[in-house]
Amino acid sequence: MALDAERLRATIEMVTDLPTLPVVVARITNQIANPSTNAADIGRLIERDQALTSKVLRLVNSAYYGFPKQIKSIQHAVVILGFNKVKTIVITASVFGAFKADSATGIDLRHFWQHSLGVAIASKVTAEQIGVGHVAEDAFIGGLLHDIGKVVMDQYQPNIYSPIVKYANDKGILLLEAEREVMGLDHTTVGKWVMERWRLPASIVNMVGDHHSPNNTTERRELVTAIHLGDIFARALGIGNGGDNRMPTIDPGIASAHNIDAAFFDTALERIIEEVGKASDFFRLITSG
Amino acid sequence: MSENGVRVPFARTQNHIYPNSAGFALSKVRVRTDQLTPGMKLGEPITNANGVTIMPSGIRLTPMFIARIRKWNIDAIDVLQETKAAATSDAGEATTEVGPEAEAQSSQNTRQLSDRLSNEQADFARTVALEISRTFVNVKNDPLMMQLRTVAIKRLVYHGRNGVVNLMRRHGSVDEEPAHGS
Repeated sequence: MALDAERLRATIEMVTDLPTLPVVVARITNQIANPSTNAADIGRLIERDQALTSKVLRLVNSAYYGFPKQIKSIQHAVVILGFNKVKTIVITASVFGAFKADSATGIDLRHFWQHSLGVAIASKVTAEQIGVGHVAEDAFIGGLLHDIGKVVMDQYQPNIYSPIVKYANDKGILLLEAEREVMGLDHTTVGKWVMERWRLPASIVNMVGDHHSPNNTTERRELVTAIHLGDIFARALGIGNGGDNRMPTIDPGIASAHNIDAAFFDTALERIIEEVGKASDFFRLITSG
Repeated sequence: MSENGVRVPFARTQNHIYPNSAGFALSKVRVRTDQLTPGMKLGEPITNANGVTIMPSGIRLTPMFIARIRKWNIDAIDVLQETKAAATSDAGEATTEVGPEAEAQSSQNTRQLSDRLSNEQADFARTVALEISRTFVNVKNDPLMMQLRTVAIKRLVYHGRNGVVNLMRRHGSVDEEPAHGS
């Protein structure tokens, strides 16, 4: 029984307590794209949200960015790190706290967020390795949000999603495959709907929407490739759990286009492990909210 | 093994050996960009003016990457080479050579490392291999995915308990089936 996509979307949008990101997140991500924005504007926006401010300052001072001196104000952070890194931190800090801690379908949410963060890091590393390091921050965000549709379904449509999760685990297949079989669509589409609802920029929405079908996209193909590979690498290293303990296969077009072989894996996995080691403050944010 | 992008001056008597996971000895040599060939691996990261890494250390240079490096007006760059032969370098700088003694030393080091693995480490390696292999069970007929599995296990074991292994979901024993896929 395939669910009607429109009906599902309407149901999701009708749910009034759909997770919201702090209003400031959409303002910040859209403001950053505006060329006349300055550091003071961004700083002021963030500072309006007390909880967000303290999370941002914590991440800014983490080993991941490795600055020798403590950064004490948001303004200072924006100047030192630049807009793109600040955008990444704001989104990261907001997303974990936007959802409930308990799963309705039996997915382990703590491990799920670990997986999402792992994919974020792996996507960034892979973006650098395939030659699009200048948009590595976007890859990080895309990786972080790549499975957001799963947690939305888990928490807001458990009646539909719970049997799908069970089916996937019983058959030993990817959640993606089970979703397509039962619903006729998958979590990437649901993720797109939610991110549009969050008013995230189209570039991010499209990047995430295509991460399982990397050859179907026309824009920013390399970013989608980075997330596709990032997902696979994070699973290969066992970082958290995305709800299904199975591997997707590497798209053959991508494998040949980038000469992917054991040496490629060696370099990528080594760097991912290094970066995960430096990102413990990010991982701690998952449990503290 | 970490790369910090700092260029190390070479002297004829110094051998900089970086074992890769295949156990071959790699040396870092300086190569002029007009003499880069595909297959060489970057020995240092290339960053732009903002400090953003554009090409990380260790990546294999493709013709496209080499063309880019040349466009950026870089004269010479460190590359890693698995070789006995010396690479050419800028005039005035000494090259390192990986002589037969150095290679023999490196493979002996690798063997000694294996011998020194304690029981605990061997158990750890087995646990990692088992956990990771379960994830790969549905792609076991895909040679590329099997290569990924091998490299993943190798990297995780190399980094030991302080690496990402701590983030792996834990079960009571390795034989326990996950209840809900988590």
